[in-house]
Amino acid sequence: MSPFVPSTPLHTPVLLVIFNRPKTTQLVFEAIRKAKPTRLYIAADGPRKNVESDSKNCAEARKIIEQVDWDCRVETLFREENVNCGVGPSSAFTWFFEHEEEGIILEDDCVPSQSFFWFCQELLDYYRHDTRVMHIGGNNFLNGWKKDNDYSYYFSRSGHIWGWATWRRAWQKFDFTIKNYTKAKRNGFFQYYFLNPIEKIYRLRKFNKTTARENVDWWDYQWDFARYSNSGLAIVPNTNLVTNIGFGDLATHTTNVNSKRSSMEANDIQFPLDHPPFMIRDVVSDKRYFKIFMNDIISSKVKTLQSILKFTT
Amino acid sequence: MTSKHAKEPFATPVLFMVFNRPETTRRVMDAIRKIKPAKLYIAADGPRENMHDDLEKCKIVRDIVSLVDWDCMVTKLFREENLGCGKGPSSAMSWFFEQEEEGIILEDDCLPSESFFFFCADLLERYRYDTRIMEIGGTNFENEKVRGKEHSYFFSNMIYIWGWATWRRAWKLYNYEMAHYNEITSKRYLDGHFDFAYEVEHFNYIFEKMHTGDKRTSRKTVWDYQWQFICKINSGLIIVPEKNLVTNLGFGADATNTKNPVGAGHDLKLDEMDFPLKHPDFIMVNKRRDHRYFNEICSSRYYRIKSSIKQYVPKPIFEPIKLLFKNLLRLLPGEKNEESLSPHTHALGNRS
Repeated sequence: MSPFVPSTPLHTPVLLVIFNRPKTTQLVFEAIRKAKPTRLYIAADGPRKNVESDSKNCAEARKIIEQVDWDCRVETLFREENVNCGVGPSSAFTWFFEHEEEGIILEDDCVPSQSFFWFCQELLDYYRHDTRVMHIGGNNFLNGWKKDNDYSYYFSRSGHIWGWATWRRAWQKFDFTIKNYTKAKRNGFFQYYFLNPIEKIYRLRKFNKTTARENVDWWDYQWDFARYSNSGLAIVPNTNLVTNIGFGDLATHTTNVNSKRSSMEANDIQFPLDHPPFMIRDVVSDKRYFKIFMNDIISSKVKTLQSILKFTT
Repeated sequence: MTSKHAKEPFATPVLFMVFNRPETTRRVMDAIRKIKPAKLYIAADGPRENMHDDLEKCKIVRDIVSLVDWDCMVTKLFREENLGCGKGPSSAMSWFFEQEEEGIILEDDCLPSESFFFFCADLLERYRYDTRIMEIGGTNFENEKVRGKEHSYFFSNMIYIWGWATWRRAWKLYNYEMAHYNEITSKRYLDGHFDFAYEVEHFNYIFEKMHTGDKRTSRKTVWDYQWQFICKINSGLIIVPEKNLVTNLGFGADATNTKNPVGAGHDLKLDEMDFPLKHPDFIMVNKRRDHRYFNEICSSRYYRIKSSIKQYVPKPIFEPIKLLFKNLLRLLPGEKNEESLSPHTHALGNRS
């Protein structure tokens, strides 16, 4: 495979969401610097009051802005107060899409391959006015398995969020409190909706939790709901384009180092992209992913249990 | 009625497809006349060579539709030769959408209520650029008791084509010959899209027949299964009104596809829609309602049971049992006639 060489400059704006991890932030930033976007938005959540090291780490992470050494307009949203991992990113996206019609979103632990940026740029343009598509993801967790080799990506219900892109028109459907959920569920919209009973239990539990809790510190289930309740499809590339380096102690959600998805390597995708001539959800690939996802959850829980047992004996 | 399109002239173009049925054509024409659309497209299929009275009936029909006595731009496509119920309508619609960006489509046996036109006009405008929506239907086959009261319409994956409306952007995707069919099936893209074994069997059967063609459901007499396929492979949604806005006058011996005079939907009551429309809060298919539609309109209970058993029973065992049951059912007094037991009933009434 020939190395990736971009054919056009990156004119798509990029949002980088950071917090308290200067080291991983640096790695993500280096990928961005190589891609040289003309507009860069940086949103940083504020340090938590009860965590002493936060203020130093947050300040250090924010310093990457000093390293912008290419022709680029930089906008920042640096918060003084901490608003958690739910409101933080989602309000940053809202801020981003108030300024831009479309864009690429990276968090401080998602290191993309160079072609990721151009993959997003091309598809943002290709499906700009096509309301059927709400999400362009950078991840593929199928470990190299492909159902269809003829096209560069497939349409899915899984919107992977370790490096992704969307449009203002889609983000406008986002509702942090998912107020339509109760009604949708009551009126039977989730009957026959999921792949199997396990998925139904899994997803509806997440939605139930989202509506029941006060301080929701996630935003991705709400984004799932926004796509579900708007019949929006997500794009999944045929190869994994972003690697997540954020697993471990400092992480909020991905604390388990045993997760298989933590070691997924980021590859480059071949250009020119091959667009499918039809748009139908690839349920076969979705099923396969869900199986991998469930196995991953179970096996990492087992491994955690094992290490605890080892530690205590 | 307070639809914002309820003013003269009615600007949304209307396509009226006619053939050889003066009685029903006259009634539908009267309904169109009430609305006085500013643009009317009339497509008439030609008489069949082997039917001696077609020539005269077609002529009477053409006279009826030519009587446009309001301020209207009339465009005609009167064919000399007969294209049939498949190619005829589909080519007429392609002709229509070559000239118009969007419009309402009526066949000579689909009697619309007055508000059907305004319902279509409002929603054609609302979803003009929303590629998720590929069709606005006029029919609702549901029992009134189970219909939604909160909103004016809902979204479906099933097509409804007795009076409907669409846009050029959607019709552009239509393909009479079922291009992509081989690719879609060989790559298993339809896998997981239907929830019951009998739905899988039904759709696999009709899509395959539309692609290869056979005596009973050949492409010659059908254009709508291809449209169902297109909506499916393009994730297009269909709008269904919560009130029934179109009834079908065409049941009976004259019909090509709805010969059974008491076929599904023959006794639908015609309703009027209330305006302003109440739009749903979110755009999601209620699959429960789609399944009910499939069970009540597209299939018989016999077919569903048979198909559900079939998936577990090997063919050499299944076939003799099937035969036995068929004969047993025939013996039962007052049971459904042979026709309604046919495994593949057309989505729009019983196909013989």
